[in-house]
Amino acid sequence: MIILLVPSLLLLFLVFGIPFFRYIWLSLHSFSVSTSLIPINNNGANWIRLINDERFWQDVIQTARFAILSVSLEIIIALCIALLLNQSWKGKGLIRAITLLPWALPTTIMALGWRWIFNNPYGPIEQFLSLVNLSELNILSSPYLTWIATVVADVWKTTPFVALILLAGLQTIPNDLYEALYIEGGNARDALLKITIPLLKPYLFISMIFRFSQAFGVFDLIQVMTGGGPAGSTESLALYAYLNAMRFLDFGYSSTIVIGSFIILVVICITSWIILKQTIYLVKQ
Amino acid sequence: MTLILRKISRKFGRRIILNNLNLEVREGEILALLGPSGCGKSTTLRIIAGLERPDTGEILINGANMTHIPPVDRKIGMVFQNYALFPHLSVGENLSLGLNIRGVPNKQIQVRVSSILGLMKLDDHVNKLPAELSGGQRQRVALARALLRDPSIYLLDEPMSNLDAQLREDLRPELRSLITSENKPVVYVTHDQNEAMALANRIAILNNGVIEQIDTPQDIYKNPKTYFVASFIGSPKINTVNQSNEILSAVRPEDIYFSEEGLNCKVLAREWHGKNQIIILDCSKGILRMICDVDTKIPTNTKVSWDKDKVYRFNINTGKRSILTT
Amino acid sequence: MKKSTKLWLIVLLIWSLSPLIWQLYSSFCTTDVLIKPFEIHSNRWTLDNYKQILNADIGFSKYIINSTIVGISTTFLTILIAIPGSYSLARLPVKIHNLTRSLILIAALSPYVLLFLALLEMARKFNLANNLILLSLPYSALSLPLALLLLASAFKDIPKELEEASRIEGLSSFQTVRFILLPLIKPSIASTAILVFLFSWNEYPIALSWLSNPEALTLPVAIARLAGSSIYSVPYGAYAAATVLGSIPLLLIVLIFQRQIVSGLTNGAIKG
Repeated sequence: MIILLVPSLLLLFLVFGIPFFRYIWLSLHSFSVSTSLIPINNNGANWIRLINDERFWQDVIQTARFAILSVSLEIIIALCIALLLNQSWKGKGLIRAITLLPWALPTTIMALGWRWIFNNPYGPIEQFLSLVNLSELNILSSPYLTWIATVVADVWKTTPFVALILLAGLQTIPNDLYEALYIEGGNARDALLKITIPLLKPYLFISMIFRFSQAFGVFDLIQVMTGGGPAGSTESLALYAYLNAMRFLDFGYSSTIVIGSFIILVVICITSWIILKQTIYLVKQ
Repeated sequence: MTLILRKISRKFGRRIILNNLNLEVREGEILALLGPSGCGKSTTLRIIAGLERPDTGEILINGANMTHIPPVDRKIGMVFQNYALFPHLSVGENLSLGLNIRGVPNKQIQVRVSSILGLMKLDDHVNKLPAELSGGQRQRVALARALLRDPSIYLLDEPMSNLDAQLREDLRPELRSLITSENKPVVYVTHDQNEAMALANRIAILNNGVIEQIDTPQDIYKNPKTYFVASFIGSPKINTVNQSNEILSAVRPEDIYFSEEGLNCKVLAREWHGKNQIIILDCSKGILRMICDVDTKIPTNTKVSWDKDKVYRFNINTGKRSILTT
Repeated sequence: MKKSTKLWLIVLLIWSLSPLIWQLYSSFCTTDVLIKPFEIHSNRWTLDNYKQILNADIGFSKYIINSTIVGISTTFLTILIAIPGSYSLARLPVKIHNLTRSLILIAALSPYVLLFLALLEMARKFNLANNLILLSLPYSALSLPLALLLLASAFKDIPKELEEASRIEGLSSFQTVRFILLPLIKPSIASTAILVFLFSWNEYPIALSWLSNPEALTLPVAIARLAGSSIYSVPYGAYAAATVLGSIPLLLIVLIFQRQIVSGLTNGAIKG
């Protein structure tokens, strides 16, 4: 019986497993144009470089900040959308399809669209800002504001996905629970805080983990929308790894960044898992 | 045609499901496998069907050893508890699928399917999907599928448990006549004692993987060989009236009556059951239930008694019926 | 429907649609209108943007065809591998099942973007680059976790009794799969196929590193190139036209297969 699973496992190993080991091996070697593209063992020089690389740590902070803000906003907005869609009316399917649309479009297409929307001075947002005399904001040229624009674009694109998962969670909550609560004299707020959110926790958790790890690897959106700029203020770890490999042709260091990012992601996931477990434990007490 | 199980044992991990089980079902006989859930009755049925292998022991159908023969070659007609009708196939397709697979010529399939549809009064439903049928109709389709196989034995796994009580009673005679008309052994698994009593020629009571007793419905009730059988069969449950010297005495509710002399008790409750009533009494021996005619009046001085020869005695340690006559 | 519900629905629709409508609007505007939207123009509307995109050296339709080729071959390969795999996954003993399932979950959760370099190396080494059909190999692997989990949960939903009944009826294992199991999980196969198709149609980073031949670009890469060619240049009208054209196939897919997409995603979340 397990033989039937072999092709799947083989393909998964080929595409997920081998690269992983290859990255670890490469991260221990100099492998770039300066070594004439021949891997040379460099006794961990890549790792020392990574630890002292300010741009890497800057990108860690930028990536984490992007991921945390987008995922938090997505969860909150998605919960509202899910609550809204969890009622029955005519034409629900069409509205669901329209809501889903941003998620279904290629990231590069909508990243290009958002770049135009935030374009200075021709995009509608800057045009509007200049009408209300805020034209100096220059969102996409400001190192302080551009990342917010990328968050807006990411939230727009991925909220439908989260909303759908939460909607599925809402539909597993039996209606009699709410009826029992209303009979006990609870109001809509109690229903949300005492029933909906506690019972939705597994779904919130799944979408949070999934979205966070995806947002931590953000690439398409940044590359197309800002190219990592201005002044590297939106560069993500994946983009940095990509630039090292494709522009600087330094494959050894690029691999080090990949493995480094992966370690940081795992550390973040494990710590937040422990913190979440602790808080759930405290709440139960 | 006969079905014989010899020394069948089956374990799941460390749990013993069946322990050294012996069984014989003769042609034209309905044998009910009766017991509480988890007693091993479904496993027995699945072992007969070949869906599961016994750890030890053998299965003989018509004298041929079937222990290692795959289900299809055992010529089994099986009705599953949830009918296991293929939900994406119409009634007609459900019935003809097996015949098709076995390479029966199309014309013959048509003849056989339509005759069985007629027999089961399903003519109008050939093109319906199982989901469009009522519970009783689904059960008939499942039965029709088993009959179509022209099997050597019939295995029925709680075929009535998804039907409401009224329908069950209505279907019983029909079911009995259909499955016995061909003079083949029938094994009928159920947890409902009334159904077993009503349908079976003999009943095998299973408990913890062991057959406690095989007997006719009358004997199972009148002459239980173990305390388990006595307490499992009969409703309300048999009353324990005494316990001393490793002997447990028990009396059936219908054998208890009010009398001038006897055990002092207090009436706790009365339940009305049509022609009968059940009176629940509290006495020094504990709670007693008696069943009596609806017109029976409760005397002011409530004392109950029973005849000595109606007392069943069991050994407390072995649970076996004790032949002592004190 | 309550009034407030209606109001929020409208807000939701505006939020979801306005960027798209803006693209649509821009794509039909002349450059002058885009630069000075608040002035009065004699010639507001134009089809020039579309003409420009469709008459480029490599017509836009080429990219759509490329994406479709990748999408279809990936979907086909994924489903082909995932059906037997998920069946086996669903029927494995609990302990092995849970272990395999967690491994697959980890693969599904990891940010696959980071794989691009190693995959690029493989492509170079084995000369797989610029081949659209072969791109479906990494794509299938990337969609496999979702496909396996979705189909395995569909297989698990089929009562065991059905398989037993079919054995008693004399169907072989292959016949059972062909006549009983596959028809029953058809809806799940459809959902999975559409999700896989959407993923491979939209995928960017891996395609970016695998495809360098301008003739072989998929739509997302082509669009990104268009954008990368001149970051600050206006007019934008041509870009807008490109995004509109690139969105139309997906728009149709979402509208037609909305139900399958939703059930695929939700089943993936609940049971995966």
